[in-house]
Amino acid sequence: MASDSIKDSTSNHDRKDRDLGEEPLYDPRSLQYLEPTQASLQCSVCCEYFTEPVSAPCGHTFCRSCIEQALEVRSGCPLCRTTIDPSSLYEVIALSRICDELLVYCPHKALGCNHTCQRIQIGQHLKDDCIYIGTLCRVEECRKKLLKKDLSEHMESCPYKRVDCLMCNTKVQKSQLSEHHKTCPAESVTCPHCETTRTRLRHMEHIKECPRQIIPCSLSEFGCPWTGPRLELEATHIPQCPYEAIRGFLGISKTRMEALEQENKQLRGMFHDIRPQVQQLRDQVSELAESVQLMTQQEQQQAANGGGNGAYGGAIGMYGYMDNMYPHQGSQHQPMLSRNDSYDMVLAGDGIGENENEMRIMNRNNSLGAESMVSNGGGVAVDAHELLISENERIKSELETLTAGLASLELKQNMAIMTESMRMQEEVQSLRAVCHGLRMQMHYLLLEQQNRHHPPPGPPPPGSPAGGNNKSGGSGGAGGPGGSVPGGGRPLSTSGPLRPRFADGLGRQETKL
Amino acid sequence: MALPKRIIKETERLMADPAPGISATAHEDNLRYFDVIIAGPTQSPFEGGVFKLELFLPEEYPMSPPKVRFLTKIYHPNIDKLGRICLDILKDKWSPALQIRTVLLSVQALLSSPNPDDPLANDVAQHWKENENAAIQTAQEWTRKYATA
Repeated sequence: MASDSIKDSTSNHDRKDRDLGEEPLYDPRSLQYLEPTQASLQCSVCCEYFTEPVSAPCGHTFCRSCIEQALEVRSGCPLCRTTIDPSSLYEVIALSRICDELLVYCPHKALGCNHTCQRIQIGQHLKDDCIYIGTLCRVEECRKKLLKKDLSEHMESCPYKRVDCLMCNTKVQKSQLSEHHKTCPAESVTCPHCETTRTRLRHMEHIKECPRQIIPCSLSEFGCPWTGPRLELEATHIPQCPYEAIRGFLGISKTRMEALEQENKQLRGMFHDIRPQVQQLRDQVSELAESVQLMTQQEQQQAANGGGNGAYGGAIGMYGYMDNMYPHQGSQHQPMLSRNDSYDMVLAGDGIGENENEMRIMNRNNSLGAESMVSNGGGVAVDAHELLISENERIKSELETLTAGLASLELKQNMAIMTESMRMQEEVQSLRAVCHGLRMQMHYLLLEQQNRHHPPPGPPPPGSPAGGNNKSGGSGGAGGPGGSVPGGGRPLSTSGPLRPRFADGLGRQETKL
Repeated sequence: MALPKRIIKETERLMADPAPGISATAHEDNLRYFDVIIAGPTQSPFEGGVFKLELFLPEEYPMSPPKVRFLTKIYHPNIDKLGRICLDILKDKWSPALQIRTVLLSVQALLSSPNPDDPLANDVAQHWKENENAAIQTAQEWTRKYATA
């Protein structure tokens, strides 16, 4: 019974202590006894007076916790080594009561508590009476550790204790009371301008309209230097204020200014956003410039190596350009040009043939150089590789343009040949006509000679034989122009100078048509 | 960890009421470590000798036995050259009811009655069994040589 009660009381204390966040009230094994040591009442394991004594079947008695702990290590009785079954332990109530009645000192004797009582009552003492027990300040923010006897004194002065503000009736921490008085809305405050007194709460409203308060002009932001009591502002200053007259303008300019400022801000933000992009673009451009420079260098090199190639391409470009420039101009010149072109081209082609060989060699040298560069500068290897690829592509495209140019040139040449052959045909025709005319004249002359030697039967009219011969000569001329030409050499010296040229001109005119 | 009250009590009692021929002093910086001096028991080959020992109380004490070792060289069949002691209560026969005092008294008793049938130092035990007188003489020599203060 007694042991039960002590158990209950300690467990209650424990719970309460935990709630308070305090240490356990006391350790029963560290209690100090008034009695001189009585070995017969002591546990042979802990060497203290029995706490909850239990006996084993062998007759030996120990504290319950001591024997249970010992049996965990060895199952024999600590005194006689007889095997003990833990369930066979039984309480020794009389011994427990004797031990509970032993007088003990309060565990806080060292702190000054001189209380002594029976062991069973020490829990109660510590719980209710002992003023040397540790506790915590009850104020949440403080929670200072102190002895129970000092608590009331501490509570008087605890800086975290809440006290009533006598003015506004709110709870304020004691340490902040003087600070609170500076802002307490119920505190009476004297207006520094009109020297009237009211609570702080009302003073805050009053100060906005105190007639004696010195305020600047309402247009001070635009530059009015006037300051004076509020009541004079409306009454005397405003009617005279030079800024009042332009208040509207000032207002407009202010709003405009604000809008501009905002816009400026926006633009600034945009600028900030764009700046990195610009930088990026700049970088890209510089990169491109570098690559272009590189390419032009290569091109120059190549041009130096294979000048004919470049010239060839250039020539084609030139001719194409000229064709485009003068598409409707005298076609008379075009064949001439074409003829020259083809001639030049042939020359150029010969040149190319020679130059190409040179170029190939040079290219080989170039590529060799590039390879050596690659092997020399390992870091440049990738760049060089890319460079080679791009060059390759460039050469390919050049080749394509060249083939296109070649095709167009071929076409042009064909055209030129065609026109030339047509012209030749016309010339042949006109020459044939001339030949015919000559033959007719020769015919006429022969007839006249015959008539002179042999008197003619009758002089024929000079126009009619020409006309008739012209008609017949058309068919006859076609048959034997070869025979008439050597014969035509003599009359040419007499009457030819004008005629052939005329005929030639005629032929030309016909081609023109 | 706080020192159990039992150790404090035992130490106090060892100081206040020492067992005859035994002194044990706790180290100031480690109250679980004791310097022990045992006088050689009369009527034994170790008579007149002063033997130094060390004793350490492990964390589990009194549920596990203290660790005891001779620091002084001794010619004894149950004590090896490292000073380790073959004594049942220091091993499997330990009981939490035993104390430092009782352990040291047991060691003292072991000096009085060597047990060559449960040896730790085999050569000494052999010597003891074959020629006890010679062995006792060696033990006396060793005591004079090593255990005289």
